[in-house]
Parts: sequence; C-alpha cells; structure tokens
Amino acid sequence: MIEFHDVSKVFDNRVRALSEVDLFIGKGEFAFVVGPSGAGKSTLLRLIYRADLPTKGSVIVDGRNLGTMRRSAIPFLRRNIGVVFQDFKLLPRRNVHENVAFALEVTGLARSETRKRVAQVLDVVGLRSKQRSYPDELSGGEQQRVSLARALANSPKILLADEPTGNLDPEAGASLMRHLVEISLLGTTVLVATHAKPIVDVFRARVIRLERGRVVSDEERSGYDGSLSPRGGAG
Amino acid sequence: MWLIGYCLREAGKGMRRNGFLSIATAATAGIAMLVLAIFLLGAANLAHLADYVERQLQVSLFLADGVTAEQRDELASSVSQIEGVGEVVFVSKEQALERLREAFGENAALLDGIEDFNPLRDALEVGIKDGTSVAAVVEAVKDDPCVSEVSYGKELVARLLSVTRLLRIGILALAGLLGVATLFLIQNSIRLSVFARREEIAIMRLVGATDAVIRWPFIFEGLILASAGAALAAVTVTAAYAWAARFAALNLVFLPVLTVRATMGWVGPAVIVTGATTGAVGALLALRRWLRD
Repeated sequence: MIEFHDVSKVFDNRVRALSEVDLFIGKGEFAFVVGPSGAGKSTLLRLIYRADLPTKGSVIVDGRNLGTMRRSAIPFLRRNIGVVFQDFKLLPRRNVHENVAFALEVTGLARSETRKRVAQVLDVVGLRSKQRSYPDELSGGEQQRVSLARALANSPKILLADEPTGNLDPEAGASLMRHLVEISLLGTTVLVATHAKPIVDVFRARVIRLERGRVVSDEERSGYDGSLSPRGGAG
Repeated sequence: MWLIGYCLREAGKGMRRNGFLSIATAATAGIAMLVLAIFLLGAANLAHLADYVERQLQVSLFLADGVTAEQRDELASSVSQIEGVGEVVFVSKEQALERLREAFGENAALLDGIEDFNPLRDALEVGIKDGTSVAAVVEAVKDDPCVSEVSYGKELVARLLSVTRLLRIGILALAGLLGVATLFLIQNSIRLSVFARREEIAIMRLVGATDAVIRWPFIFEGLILASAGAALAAVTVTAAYAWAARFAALNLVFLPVLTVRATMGWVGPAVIVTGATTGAVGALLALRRWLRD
C-alpha cells in the first residue's frame, strides 16, 4: 500500500529530514513510526499524503508514484488517506456534525448521503450523542475522536496519525489507540507517528524507528526500545 | 450543478461568519463604484456639452461682389459635401439686414434708410456638425475667388477642441485608475477573508477538496459583495442625479444636462458589471498565493 524507495528529503534550508529510507507497508497493516523529535516522523507522513515531495527516490501509494502525479490528481489521492494531527485541526465555529460533514461536502457527496455517513463514523468513535456540540465544549480526547471521524469519513485506505495522543491524557490516548487498531482490523492501513513509549509498548505492533532521518530498526511485534523478536534490520 | 449550489451556500456562510469584513468589502466596492459612476456621469455630460457647443459652430463664407447664383449654388453644394458639414444656407444681404433689425429690437429704427446702401454682404452659412471639419471647410474655400472672407470663431474652435479632447482623455485615464484601485481594494478585502479562513482551506486541501471547490466560494463571495455594493452605489447615484438634473433644468436653463434616463440607463449597468467583474477578479488574485500545494 505504501512504498518508499531510497527516499531522501532535504528542505530548502538544507535541513536533512530523511535519508535513504526504504519501506514497505502492506494493506491493512498497523505500524508505529517512532523516534525523537526531529527524527523525520512527520516528514515521512507528509510525503505519503503528498504535502511534500521527496528530494530523491520515490514514494508509491496505492500503486501510484507521487513524484509523477499531476497536481489535479492530488485531491483524489487525499480522499483515500485520512490524517489525524496532534492539534486536531477542527474548525471552531462548526459543530461536531459539520466538522465531519465538511470532509464529505467538499468531495461533492449528496447531502442525504453525507448525513448518513457522518452518523456512521460518529458511531464508530462513540460521539453521535455529541454531534451538535462545538469543539470547545468537548474534552481533548473527544476532539481527537471527532478529528478521527473526519479522517474516516471518506472511507480511506490509509489512515495516518501524527502524534495523535500528544495532547491527550493517558486514558484518552489509550482509547484513541484502540480505535485506530480496530480500524486497521477492518482493512485500513494505519501508520502512527509517536514518541509515546507506553502506548507503543502496550500494543506490540510493527515499530519503525527513525533517528536523524534514517530507519535504524524495523521490527514486528516490538516495543519502543526494540524488542524480543527482531525482524532483521531495516527494509 | 452541485458545485454551484455548494459554492453559493459556502459563500453565504462565509459572508455571515465574517459579517463585518463582508460589509466592509461591499462598502469599499460601493464607494469605488460610486466615484466611478460620478465620473461617468461627468464625462457623459461633458461630452454632451462639447457636442452641443460644437453643434452651435458655424462658418460664414462672405461672397465676393458679382458672384452669380450658379456660382453660389456650386460653392454651396461642394462645401456641403465635406465630411462633418451640416446644412449650407444662403443668406442674402437683405436677409442679413432683416436679422440685424430683429437683433436691434426696439432700436431697429436706427437702421431705417440703410436699405439703399446696405453695407452687409451676401453669405453662405455653413453648419458644422463636427468641430474638426471647420479646418477642412476653411481649407477648401481659401483660394476660391467667389469667397471674399471666411468668418468663424477661430480661437474658440481651437480652444474648445483641445479642452474637450483633454477632458475626455483625462476622464478615461481617471476611470481606468479608479478601476485598478477598486481591484486592489477588493483583492485586499477578499485576501483578509481568505486569511480569516486559512485553517479551513488547509483542512479542505487535506481532505481532498479540488482547487475549484476551494476557489469558487470565494469568487462568488467577491462577486456578490462587490455587486451588492455597486448596486447600492447605482441606486444612490440615480437618485442624486435625478435631483441634480431637475435642479439644473429649472435653474441653469442655459446648461444642456442629460436626463436620468439617458445616462443611468447605461451608467447603472456599467457600474454594476464593473463592480461584479472586479469583485470576481479581485478574489481570484487574492486566492493565487493560497492555492499552491
């Protein structure tokens, strides 16, 4: 579903965010991307939804090479990729329902369909009862679930989460992670960038470790600091 | 079809959410269009006035003694073929004296007895439709032996022509400048509106909205706000001009002023169309830098 071939990213200010990254993430897989701040986790995610282009190498998502993709095709790529951020990125003047419906309206979905679909995804994250509330009336955990519902609204094949638990208390963080795992079990590829050790350690999933832009380890069923069942180097 | 409905709804929401800014944008466009309307009215009336004065122009060709009726008619017909020349009328010296008598009015008795040695001359009065043709007429008859003297408001014609030309160019240039100024004002207003909603735009891009879906609500917004402002300006100017035209008709009888119907019939639509266009173009310009990936 997601392939990185010898990908490097150097920003205009000469900061080297990624170096020679090779990755393969299959359909329905659940993986953590871990590493200290500035290791390149966010850049890695941004390359997947084509917010950035690699300086070298190629990124292939769902069989399409993002480097040669036309500008006009980008929106359609993004409809297949849900993204959740640490700061939720909800619109403060729209209520829960409107925030989620927004993602569907802009794709041209009929209003009755939109209403149905919004109800479905709010059910998934357990927030249907709060659909008339505004973001500032919700807890951090609830806001992040609204953001997750919005990411899921278009039934994406890929879900990316950039430090999704960064602003949440441990309990809300764990609850959100359970939602993400459930979503991956339904066939969506889920990639979570985080430096929350406890969460990574609990879930024992694939862990891709970045340091200074390089993949230093990539192990199945691992913990934050590496683990018992090595997968055998990067790749 | 979906896009139009969606864009109208979003433009409406956008205007409601940024109420104050929307009113400011409409007011800006309205004021600019008001000034434009006033300039257009001024220009139309000046052109009308210049036209009016030009139409009063006349060249008198005084005929030499002994010119026969045939020679006279031939001259008249050749002059009347010059472009921009209106009617050519023969005024005999007797008729000229009669006119003089009328002009003297109560003092006409002073002219009694003058008939026998009438000092006036036979003349062809050449009506001028276009001020620029005066020179052509003068040139054509300059060497004609039948014409003893040519009389026309030489200086007046020259001055009038240069003044009206200057005025027309000046007004055209001013109207152009105003149009550009309006474009910048609206562009800035829409840019503020876009800036106020930059997070919304970022999220739209994130969830896969196409450029059209992002762009059109703002263009509709610019279009609607600027048209509303322009319409208000057109109504205001129409009312004000109706009053001014009536005032002029009653109190400044000598001044030829165009009627409301003759002017606002085109000034109104022109102002609204200009407003709408600048609104849409301004919005488009404002959006350019926000629509890169």
